[in-house]
Amino acid sequence: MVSAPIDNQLWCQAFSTSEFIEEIRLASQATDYTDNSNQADYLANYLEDIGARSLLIENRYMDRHFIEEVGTFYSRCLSQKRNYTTRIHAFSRDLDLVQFRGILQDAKAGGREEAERELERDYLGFVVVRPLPSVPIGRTVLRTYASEDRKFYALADYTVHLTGLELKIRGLAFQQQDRGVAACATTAIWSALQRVCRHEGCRVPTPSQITEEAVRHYLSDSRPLPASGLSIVQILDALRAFDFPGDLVYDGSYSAEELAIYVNIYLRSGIPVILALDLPEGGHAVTAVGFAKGKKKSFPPLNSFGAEMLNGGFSKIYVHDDRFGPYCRAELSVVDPQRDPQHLTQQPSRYLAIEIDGRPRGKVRGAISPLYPKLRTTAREMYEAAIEIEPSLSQYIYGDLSVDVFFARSGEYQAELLDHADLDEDVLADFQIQVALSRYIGVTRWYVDGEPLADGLWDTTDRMRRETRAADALLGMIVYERAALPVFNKLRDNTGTLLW
Amino acid sequence: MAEKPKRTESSEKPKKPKRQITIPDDDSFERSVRKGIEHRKETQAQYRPARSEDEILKFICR
Repeated sequence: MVSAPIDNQLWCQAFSTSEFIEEIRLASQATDYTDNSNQADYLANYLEDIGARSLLIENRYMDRHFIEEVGTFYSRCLSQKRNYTTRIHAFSRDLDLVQFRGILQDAKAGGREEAERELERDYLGFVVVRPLPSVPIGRTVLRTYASEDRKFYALADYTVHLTGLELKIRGLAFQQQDRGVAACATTAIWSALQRVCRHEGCRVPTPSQITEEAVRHYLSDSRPLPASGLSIVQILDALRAFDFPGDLVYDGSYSAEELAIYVNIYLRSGIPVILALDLPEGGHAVTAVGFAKGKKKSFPPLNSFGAEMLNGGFSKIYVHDDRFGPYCRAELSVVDPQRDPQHLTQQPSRYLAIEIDGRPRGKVRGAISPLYPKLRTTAREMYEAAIEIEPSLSQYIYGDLSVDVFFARSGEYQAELLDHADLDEDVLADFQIQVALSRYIGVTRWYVDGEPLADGLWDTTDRMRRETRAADALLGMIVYERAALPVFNKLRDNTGTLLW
Repeated sequence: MAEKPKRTESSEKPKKPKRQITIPDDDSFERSVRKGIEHRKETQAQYRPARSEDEILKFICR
């Protein structure tokens, strides 16, 4: 018997929000557009905002993440779902099928790289549409908004294979929760792992694999499938199973300002943060992937800190919220129940509040960051390290002192120094030749009057244990402002650290 | 190997005024170090563990 040929007809379509929504309806096999209009509307508006002008549609796309859901769940349903999806690519240029054929012909004639670069220049990303009318939005990777003030460090590079051409896109995968196999927390974990797994060269688990690991040791109040939700402990369990144990910063353990600062330190370090939220409609989880620089001192540290903590100078974050879409704008603020009539009931103390996409405000109950296993130092310990060093600088160096705290993979940090305009060439060469760093380092980057002053480099492979953080884990300091060397010489004599 | 081009005068940054500092003596620097440690300990003292394990176990994100 000869199998029927497998058809994958590509076609192009001029972009409009209504056309995009209609393509989603058709691809998901929905009979009408009623359910889940939130996500399709959000994506349509987002694509319009980032300049979409055309769509290229692959009718038959095998998506690893969806086919595993089929194997785990849908293959055993009475009503069969097909096992393939539709992938919609978006471009910020006009593109019709004749032009696309021309690009392929040019590639065949020897201009492949040029053809790829030409398409890539205007490529905005893709949306996988599942054949699930009520939850159609599958793996979706789109470009972020282009803006200097918006900081997206927690993204990943994706290579998209399209008709033999390779297109690169930088973003972070999003998908709508499918209540068959995944709760909102599962998709939040999935998005967070997209970044850290890709950054460390591991294969990203699928939603059904995440659900399986999350319920392996602890089943909260229901069956694993259909998915009904995950507790914070289950989120931590799933992250540990994929070798990225989570650092949990729990509301109530720290001040609301400190909680915001820790979220920023991880985002600044390219580590996504899963936020467990108490919303008026119940518990929910989203993944924070970026932030926008905002008013200075939005979240100030303790009064005793004499410098400006740059990690507190933000109020907007960008979250993947499966109720809406990727890169949703959210506002963080500190709410004092004594002063604010809108406070949540039964909440006696100040808390960190979040408002996503203009919806009713909720409370941040916990922030969980998946960490590389040998990154054993936490954002809190780095924050404390900055607090400890500050008086040794602010008392002797005139000007407004500020500090930016983050983690960096040492190779990336060293590469960044090569382009650092304020670093003397001899100092750079000495540093690169002499230094031995852990895979991840903690960095306290000090500024005076907005100019780079020095970087403190901290070992992250151990807990900070001893009387002084500096004597315990400060690997060295790079001094940009050479006039301040006498102060740093004192610090070196006091702590035994290295100095460049 | 080609010689690395030298920076011309015009591409050099304008010279910044020298940053003012006080050169610390041993005693005052030691006091600053102690002050930093005290500030850190004050911060650590404010930490409160989660109110109960149940709060983490029972809070479900759906």
